Formats: sequence, C-alpha cells, structure tokens
Amino acid sequence: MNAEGRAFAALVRPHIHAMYRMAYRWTRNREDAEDLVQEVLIKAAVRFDEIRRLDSPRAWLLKVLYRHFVDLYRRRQRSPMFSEHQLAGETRPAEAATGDSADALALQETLELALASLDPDQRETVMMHDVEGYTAVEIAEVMAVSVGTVKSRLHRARERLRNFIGTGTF
Amino acid sequence: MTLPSVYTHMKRDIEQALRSLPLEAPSEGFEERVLANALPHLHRTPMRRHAGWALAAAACVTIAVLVTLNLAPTPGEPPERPVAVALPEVRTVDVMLRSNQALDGVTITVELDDNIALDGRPDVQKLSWQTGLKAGANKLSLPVMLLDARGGEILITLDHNGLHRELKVRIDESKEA
Repeated sequence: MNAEGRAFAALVRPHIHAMYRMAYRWTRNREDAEDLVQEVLIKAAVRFDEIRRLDSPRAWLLKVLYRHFVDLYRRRQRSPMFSEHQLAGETRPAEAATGDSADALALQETLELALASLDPDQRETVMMHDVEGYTAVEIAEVMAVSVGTVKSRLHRARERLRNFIGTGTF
Repeated sequence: MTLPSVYTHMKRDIEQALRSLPLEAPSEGFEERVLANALPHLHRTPMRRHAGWALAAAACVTIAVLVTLNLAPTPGEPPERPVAVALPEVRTVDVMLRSNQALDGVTITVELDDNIALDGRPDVQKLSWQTGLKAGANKLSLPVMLLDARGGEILITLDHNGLHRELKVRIDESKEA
C-alpha cells in the first residue's frame, strides 16, 4: 500500500465498525450492512481529497451512509429491517427456548414489533440515539434535519413504544 | 418472566432494552476487504483531455446519444438509452450533438448525480463552458465512472441565444463480469 493508501486507511479505518453497526441497526441484515459500508468507502476513496480536509470525517461518512440506506429503503418500497417474514418469525433460528432465554427472546421480539410500529424516520432516529448513542446534534447533521425535528421524532417514538408495550398490541 | 412482566420491564426501561438488541458481527475479514476494495478508487489518472469536442473516434467502446440542436425538439429523436458502466471501471460516453448550422458561443453544462464522477475529476459535479458547434455532428466525450451500484444521471444542457436544450443520460451499473 502506498502512502496515499495508508493515509486513506488511517482516516477511515477508525469509523468502519461504527458505520457497520449503524448500517446493521438500520437494515438488520449483515450483507446489506456490509454492502452499504463498502459503497460509502468507495465514495470516500474517490473523494479522499475532499474528506481529508474535513474536521469530522465521521460525520461525512455517516451522512453518506444514511443517504445510501434511504436509497436502499426507497428501492425496496419498505424497510428491510422488518420484512413480513421477519414479523412472522420465519427468520428466527430454530432452537428451543426455555426459561431466561425464552424471556429474553420474548422481550426482543416484543421490542422489535414495537419498533416495527414506528414510522421509518422515528425508527431510524431511535436506532441512532437510543441504541447507538449518537447525540441529537449528530443525528440532525446525518439526517439533514433540525435538532428540533430529531427531538420530536424521539419523543413521538418513545411515546409510541410505551403505548405499544403497555397494551402489547399495535 | 411472563409476557405481562416483560412488558412491565420494558416499559420501565425501554432504553436499556433497546441497547440490548443483538448485533450480528460482520463477516470475517470485513474491514480489510472493504478497505482493499476501496483503495483502487484512490488513484484515478488525470483526464487526458478535458471535456470538450473531440472529433476523432475514441479508441475505447463508446456509446453515442444524439440530440438535435434546433429551435424545438425534433419529433422522432432517438430515445435516450441507458449506458452500462461496470464498477469500478471508467467508460467513455460519447454524446453526439447535431446542429443544423454552425453556432458560436454555445454554453454547455454537464451536471452529474453525486454517485457519478468524471475520471480524474472526482470532486467536480458540474462543468460549464462555452464553445462553438460546427454544422452536423459534434462529439462530447465524457470519461464516466460510477461510484456505487445505484447508477444515476448526467444532465447535459445547451444554451445559445435563449435557446435551451436538455439531454439526460442514464448511467446504470453493468452486470457483465
């Protein structure tokens, strides 16, 4: 690897895992998440001269990642995160669940159903903020919306989750 | 724990439950693989010629799109067909612009979707320049590369004395090996 390649790797490598995590949270699919990260890195390589001058390459990378994800979502006309067969439980590993593991599975399934009841914008915001720990300011930059919009989405999403969990239904 | 108690637990601490959502690890060698695939895109050779009129036939495979520079769009104009470009290759797209007379001072603007770039000019999304057109066919050669599999469009506009024509060229990923 030449000096330019090493500089590129040094710039983006610290963010690859964070990008994968976020892509996985949005897509709930390893292959889709890996593909998204790959597309972003290729774009970053082509625009290396541009992003190497940025104060925060991470923000640029996440922003491009989100745009790619939204394009993927629109192509599929629905969130791949909660497809119909996932909601029907067909993708669950076939394993016997008892005791604590059964409770954990029930908890996870209930939470996923609750998340599926959210609007995509709300769900993606919750995933960034409550699951991955990004700040409202960071999310606003990534999603190209105002901080107020982020906070509003979070408020409505949490309210919806609480209502769902309280009744156990949509 | 019964389901009602699960709900109670989640209601009490939704954020903790969210943080416990499982995360599937990436496949083995993921980080090195995505880096290795991205690195070839770092060193694009500079464009051997700037976007402009090239009268000689290009040595590489080219695709011609015709547009007639008249006062109004010409009925029966050839349809604008998509161009297939393989990742991460560069393909020269020749756009044939036909004028029924010689024209001076034509402003040509090329705008690229953000996932399309010109070889050697990855940071440029919009080019605009003035040139003359000869009567007949004029060829605009664009060394195009796709930055991802989504494809996109190139918008070419021509302006001359209030006359405005637009041409969109769709670029799709080639599925050929």
